[in-house]
Amino acid sequence: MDVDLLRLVARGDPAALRALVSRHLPRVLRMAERLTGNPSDAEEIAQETMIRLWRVARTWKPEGARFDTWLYRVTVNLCIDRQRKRPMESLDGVAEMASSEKGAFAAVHGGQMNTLVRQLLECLPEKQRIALVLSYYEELTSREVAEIMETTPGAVLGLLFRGRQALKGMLTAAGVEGWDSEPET
Amino acid sequence: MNQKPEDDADILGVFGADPKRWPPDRRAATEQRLRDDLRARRAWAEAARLDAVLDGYGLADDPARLAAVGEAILAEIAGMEDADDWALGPIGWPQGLGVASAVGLLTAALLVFGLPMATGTEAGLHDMLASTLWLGTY
Repeated sequence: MDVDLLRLVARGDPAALRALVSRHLPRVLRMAERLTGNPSDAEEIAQETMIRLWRVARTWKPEGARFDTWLYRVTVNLCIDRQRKRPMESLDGVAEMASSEKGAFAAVHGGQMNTLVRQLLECLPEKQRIALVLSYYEELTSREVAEIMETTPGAVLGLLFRGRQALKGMLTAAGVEGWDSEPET
Repeated sequence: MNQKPEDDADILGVFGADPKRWPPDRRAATEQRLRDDLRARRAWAEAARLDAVLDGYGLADDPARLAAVGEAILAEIAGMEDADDWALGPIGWPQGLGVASAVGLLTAALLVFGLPMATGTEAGLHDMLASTLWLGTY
């Protein structure tokens, strides 16, 4: 389907381009927003990704990488470039946010939870963050994540394990109350 | 907890508490371990709490935003299409080759038809360029 649309895009078919963009934009945008933590950066990255899609259509070789793997790899690489130009997020922001969450953790969907988790993800090492976003949020398999990250599925499992461990450590260190207590059933 | 994510003991530490996320070939063994092992159940509860934190970062697709970003992308590309030679691609103007052949033929034309150029007649120059571009296209 994607490859058929790409062929049409290569012939200058605007409807095919529109179909490809509408098919992949939601995930690309979501992925970029979680990886950069910034909605407007995510929109620019999504735009650049789609422009690259359009440019590659003329030379796309179906026997190469899967189209969606290629597309998500471009998205991830653009996010990495963008993140490397920005200053590192510190844990101070998480602690500050956590203190305002104290006592409210049980209501996980509280207003500031998005911000708290965004900051936690930003504090993770780059590869752990990417693996976690692709695996947990985008529900890609370890093999798919490995292809996007150009590594092995085993390495992805290690990144996921260490990423989750690091998140638990950060939540504890930041004093997010209630996160490590037994859930009420 | 074992630090090797390949082991069943670490499925929870890698994929979290939701069995749907576990590799299908490891699901039964992990569920059995949860029934048999108190430590595994504690690990499951901890994984479930972390999942709840992660699930707090919800990003619902906003149709209006998606439409706006999508239209901006298509407009940007349409602008580029006007600006570069891509639109000529399907007609058969291979970039680079076309420019090279145009330069070569223009040089040859200058040698062969030096008189019209020397006299500076606009019509002669126009004809020459037209024939050069035509040859370059095919």
